[in-house]
Amino acid sequence: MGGFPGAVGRSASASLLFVVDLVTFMLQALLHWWQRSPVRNRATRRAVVVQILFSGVDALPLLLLIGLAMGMALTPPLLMAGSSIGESEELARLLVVGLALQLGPLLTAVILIGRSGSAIAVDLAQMKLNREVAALDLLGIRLTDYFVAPRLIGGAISQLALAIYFAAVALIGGSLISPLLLSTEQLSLLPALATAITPGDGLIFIFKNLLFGMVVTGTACFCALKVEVSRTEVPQRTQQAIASSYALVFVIAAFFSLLELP
Amino acid sequence: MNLALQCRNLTPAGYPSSAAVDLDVPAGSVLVIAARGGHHRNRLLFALAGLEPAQCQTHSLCGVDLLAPDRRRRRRARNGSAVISHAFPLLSNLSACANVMLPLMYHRRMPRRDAMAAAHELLDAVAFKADRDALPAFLNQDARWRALLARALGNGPPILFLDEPFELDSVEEWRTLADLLLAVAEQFNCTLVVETAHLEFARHHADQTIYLDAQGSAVFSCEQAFALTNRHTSWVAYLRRLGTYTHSHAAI
Repeated sequence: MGGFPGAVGRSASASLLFVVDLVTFMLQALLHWWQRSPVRNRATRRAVVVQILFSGVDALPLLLLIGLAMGMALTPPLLMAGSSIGESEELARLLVVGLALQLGPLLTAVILIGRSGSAIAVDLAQMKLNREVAALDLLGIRLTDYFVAPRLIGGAISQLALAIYFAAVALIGGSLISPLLLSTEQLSLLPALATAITPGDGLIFIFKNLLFGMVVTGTACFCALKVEVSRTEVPQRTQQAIASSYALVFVIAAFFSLLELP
Repeated sequence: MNLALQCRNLTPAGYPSSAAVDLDVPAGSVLVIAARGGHHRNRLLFALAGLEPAQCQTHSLCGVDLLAPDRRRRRRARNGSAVISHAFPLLSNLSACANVMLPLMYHRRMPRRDAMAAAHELLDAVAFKADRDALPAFLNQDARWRALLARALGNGPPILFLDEPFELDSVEEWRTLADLLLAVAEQFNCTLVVETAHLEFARHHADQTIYLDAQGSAVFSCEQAFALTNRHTSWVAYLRRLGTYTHSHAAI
């Protein structure tokens, strides 16, 4: 089929196939990793720790700064807009859902994509071009075991930890700055924030962030390993990894928001 | 006789069929592929190691038939051997020592401290003199090659495929390295398959030698490979490149 509808169809089927391949790739990596007893395999365990250090710990100062800034920027306007609601529990719920449960994971994922996703894609693509990956394969070290699965696990744990930090800093920072700008009554929000999160919210938050982390790092690995022969493929694949990660993260976020609707 | 490598009528893909190779390499022996520089230089080596596609009637590595349909067994046999080549470099984000530790921690599941001690022993065995905590980018070619050798030895391979180990300037250096290779082969009980442009090594240490001409075809004789009548060959230039040219050679 030609013309615009044909192009849209081809693009949609290519996107769908990309997602199917990506999911298969990630599941295969995790399965291989699990089969090799990851807890006892010190090489892959260390790779997970290194990934957490790189994606989670190193990104913490930047994330805390952004979290604090977002909390300070969004909390006072949200409180002013929500002041007509009246009750502090409902205001706290509004803040928790808007800032911590929806915006927090998204912004954290955006930081993870920009910081770790791009780095993983470039690093892995260069390694593949230099045949370092093939060299490990010759030593009997599985690519998925050493390069992919630890990045998936490390990315997921990092995303979850960073999102928790982001939410905490944004909520607490915003709640502390609001009394200075609005009125001291806003301090009563602080205890209400703690009770505004339900166990269901917590579970969805954890699951969503783990998924975000895996998708970001998995997409980076998947695109990077498609590099074949030329250095010009590295920026192309990195760009593809970043663009695809953004698209997938926002689509997943929208999907979760729909799920959370009463 | 225990054979480390056996093949019949093996021709790497893209080679002329007249260049087919028959080999029986006993365990513990030294096979040298003497080849001049060129595009096809290491393809026979990689084909023998089972890395490059090749046409052959039989091809077995350490008793495992590489033509058999059992993919997992084939892969194990291929991974059991070690290919040391700058075409398959060290991991650039790990230090030399960490590179050597990696297979020890992955395959033997050694704790980090034990793996580090074992890696240092392996680096000592290959006379690695450079900074062990340096990344490969900060090592010279010789140090990188020795680290590759140490990393491969960590898997306890029964056969080592070495891609041009003698890219060195002086006669003393290649002799030292040749002695080291033979000592390592004896210490780790390995068979050596060495692809090199260094005829002296072949003359002194090879149990079997295959000569390749400038086009990469096996010709089975030194005279054919390096004959003056061969328009691709300049014996003097060749010796100069090896650093072994002396005035006595001028008479050749």
